[in-house]
Order: sequence, then C-alpha cells, then structure tokens
Amino acid sequence: MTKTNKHLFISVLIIFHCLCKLANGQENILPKTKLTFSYFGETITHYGLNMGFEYYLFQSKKYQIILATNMGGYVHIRNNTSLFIREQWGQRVSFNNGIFIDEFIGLGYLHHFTHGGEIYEVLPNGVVVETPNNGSPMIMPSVGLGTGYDFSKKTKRNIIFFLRPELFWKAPFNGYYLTHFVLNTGVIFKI
Amino acid sequence: MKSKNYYFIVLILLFFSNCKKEEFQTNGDFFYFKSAEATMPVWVKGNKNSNKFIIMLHGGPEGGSSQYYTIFPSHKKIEEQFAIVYWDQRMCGMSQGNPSMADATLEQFTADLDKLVTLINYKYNSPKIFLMGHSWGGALGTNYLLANQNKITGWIEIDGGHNWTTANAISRDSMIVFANNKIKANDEKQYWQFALNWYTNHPVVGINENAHYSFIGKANGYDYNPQSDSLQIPFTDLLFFSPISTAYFFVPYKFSFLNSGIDLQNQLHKITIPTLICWGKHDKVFPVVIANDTYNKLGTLKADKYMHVFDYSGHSPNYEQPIEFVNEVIKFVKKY
Repeated sequence: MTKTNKHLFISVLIIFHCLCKLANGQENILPKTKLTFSYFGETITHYGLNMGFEYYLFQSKKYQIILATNMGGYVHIRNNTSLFIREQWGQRVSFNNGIFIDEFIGLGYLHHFTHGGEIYEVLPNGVVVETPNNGSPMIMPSVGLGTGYDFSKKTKRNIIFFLRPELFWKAPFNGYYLTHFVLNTGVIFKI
Repeated sequence: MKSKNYYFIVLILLFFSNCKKEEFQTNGDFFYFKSAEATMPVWVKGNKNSNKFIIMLHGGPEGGSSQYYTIFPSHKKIEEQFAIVYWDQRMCGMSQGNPSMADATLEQFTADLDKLVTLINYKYNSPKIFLMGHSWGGALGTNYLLANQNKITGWIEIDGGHNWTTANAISRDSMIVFANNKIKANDEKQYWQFALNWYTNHPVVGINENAHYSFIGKANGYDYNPQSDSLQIPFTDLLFFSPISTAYFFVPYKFSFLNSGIDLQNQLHKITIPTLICWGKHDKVFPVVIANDTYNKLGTLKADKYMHVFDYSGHSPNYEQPIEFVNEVIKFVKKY
C-alpha cells in the first residue's frame, strides 16, 4: 500500500467512525435534510470523493422526492483530475425491510485538469515554454440508478448505505460529450 | 457491527492497492504538449541513455492510441535498447482539449509532429530521432519527412498508409478475388456474396468506408493468425489501472480530411534518409505490393534502405512476429 493510499485509508476510517457515532441514537423521524458522503470512483478504480446534502421536497415513509447538491472530484492517474459541483433531482422508493432503490438525474459544472506531467507549448519561433495547468471548464450531465439499505428501518441508527452506479458526461471534450462510468457508494446521514 | 464496517472498507482498499498498475502509472517520463487547442499526452519509455529516441506514430487515426503499442512485447524489447516516445495524436486515444474537426488535417497532424520533435530535442538534449509509423502513422511520417527529414535520423514504416487511396483500389481488387474464391468454395457463401455486391456498388472505396475494413477483418487481412498468442492484452490493467479512458472507446467521428484521399507515392523520391520498410505478406489493408513499390521509389541510397516482408503477418508484424520485428528494428537503429 503506497503512502497516499495509507492516508486515504486512515481518513476514510476516521470519517466513517464519526458518521457511525453521529448516527447512533438518532430518533426515527423524517428530517428535511441529510448529508451525503461517498467514494466516487470513475471507472470504479480512479478514486475520488463526493459530498453534499439531500433536501426532501416530498417524503413519506416509503417515498421521497429529492433535490441533492453535491461537490466532489476524482483522479485518473496520467489522464485527468476533475472537480465538480452539481445539482441532482431524484426519487427514492423504500421497502419495509430497509432496502431501497433510487434514481437521479443531474447537471453540474466540472473543471478538468490534465494529470501526470507538465504541459509544454512550442511557440512559432521554436522556443519551448512550460504552460500552467489551468484546466478546462465543462458541463456535467449525469444519471444514476442505485440501491441501498436504510439502517433506521430496523435499528436506531439513522444512517443509509447506498451503492449507485452512474453515467456522466463531460463536454466539450474533443468536440463531443465524453461518457464516463462511475461507482458512487457511501452513506447518507442526519446531522 | 462497527468492526464489520471496518473489515468491509479494508477489503475494498486492499483490492485497489494490490492490483498491478505500476508500469502504466509510474514508469518513464510523462508530459503533455499543446497545439491548436489539443492537449496531447507523451510517454517516453525505455533506454534514454542510448541517446536514440524512436517516436511512435500510431495507426487509426480514429480509434488509434500510442498507449496501445506500449503493451507489445516487441516494444518492450526495443525499449531495452532505445527510448520510445509514445504520443497520442490530436482527437485520438487519450488526447484532450477541444480542437475542432476543421483543424484536423494532414497539415495540422504534421505540424503537431514537428512540435513534438522540437520538444524532444529540448527535453533530451537533441538526441538522434527516428520515426516509426504504423498504418496511418506511415502516412503521417511520410508527409512529415517530405519537408522535415533533416531533423530525423531514420524512418521505419510498418504497413504504412502513405498512398491510402491507391492502396484501397488494390485492396478492393484483392478482396473481390477473395470473395469469389469463397463463393466458389461454398464457404460462408451468403456473407461473401453480400461483400461482392457491396464492392460492385462501390467501384471506388473511400478511406472512411467501414464496410471495406469489416470484410478485410473477416478475411484475416488484419491478423494473419487471429488465434496467435503473440499479443496478450491486459484488459483489466488497461481498463482500471492505466491512463486509458472511455475516450478510447467513444470517439464518435470520422476524420473528414481523409475523404479527399492520400497519395504520396510519387513524392517518395524526395525522402533520402535511412529507411526500414516492414510489411506483412498477408496484409489486405495495404497489400504487400505497395512495400515493393515504396522501396523502389524512395530516394534513399540502396545501401541505406531495407525492406523486410514478414511471412506470417497481416497488417501488424510488430505484434504478429515480434522476435523477427525486434531484430530488424534494433539492427537498423543501431546502425545509424
């Protein structure tokens, strides 16, 4: 395990531990807002994080209409580092046993930086210069279809685990919308 | 419950950290260069102390990537002796930015290559530079040399497309013969009758005609022996632990500049630098007769031009006959 991975591992452990502490002992009510924290893996393994909150426009014990705001990013080694902020609209159907399914569509702003090395330019007079990596602004439509488990249905923990494969697109990229597959998995919890 | 959660996270992290990824993510020098709105990755691998750098010009152009060639066993052997510069051309492979299709011309690809040559000279103290072009890379390399051969020590062309328009006419004729033979032998008669009808309706085969290349693939015109294990593709590493992105699979366009054709055969006499021509005997994309004609028309002195026809290869002797290919390339580069 590399040094970076060890740091990531320890950070995730600490955050997860805090979330478990927070969730313990929460009352089983229907809060209007919850926080989300998740692993955002582009093509699963190109690691990243996503965090934000969900606001429930409508909710009953079995159904929620959700407006979510989240920000995050990921690193694809020797390809790109991307940071984004996006709004998502979704809905979630919950079953009595705690399992649920949800779907989201979203639109966001993404800033795309190259990753892995310096960027050079060759000027018309043949002089080579190194240029700053300012990145490129892009739009980021997305769709996601997920499932998960709501621990509050069977325990006193007000925490939800979710697993949500997503597709998102980056544009403009070489004149088209570049498709990405993402595994977005993490927890949703009440403060 | 808490300890179960911890174990789950540990398992996930161990999975990610134990996969093989070092070569793609840390090996060699990696950088980018910008040109006309394109940001193109360059990966320099191998023996940089040799002071001999081979710039790999990939095939395609659409669907092409130099990073694909990094997995060839032949390239790994060549890297033991010399440095290889893997460059993804504009709008290809892992190239980034937002260049326009209007800028994607043979002239612009050639201008990009000239900038790369300048950059390699700048970063590595003006080493000896060789170009190695495969398929479309043969067209790009040839066009570059027509105006810039003074910057290059040697040229290696592998089943190159420098006269793609003529090659398609020759290829069309050979595919018609192939289809007729298949029909006579009652071997997949329906498919080859369909192919024959297609060729009847297409007396001129354009460079962007996908159907033609599909028929060639079916006739083993790309890979002479598709069952050969000379190239084992590490799909998991490429997909999950390499710089390769979905851009490699989702490129949605055809390069429109190719519609007007490419034919540089009658300018080959202007090229006078040492040249090695490598060609698969069973190539049905650019049939081997083109190799002979290229050898004869090159302006290079006889003592400095070489041709090697690979008896058991189609379009890619660089992975179909890796040992023979490595021997030829190393012998050539060492000499100059």
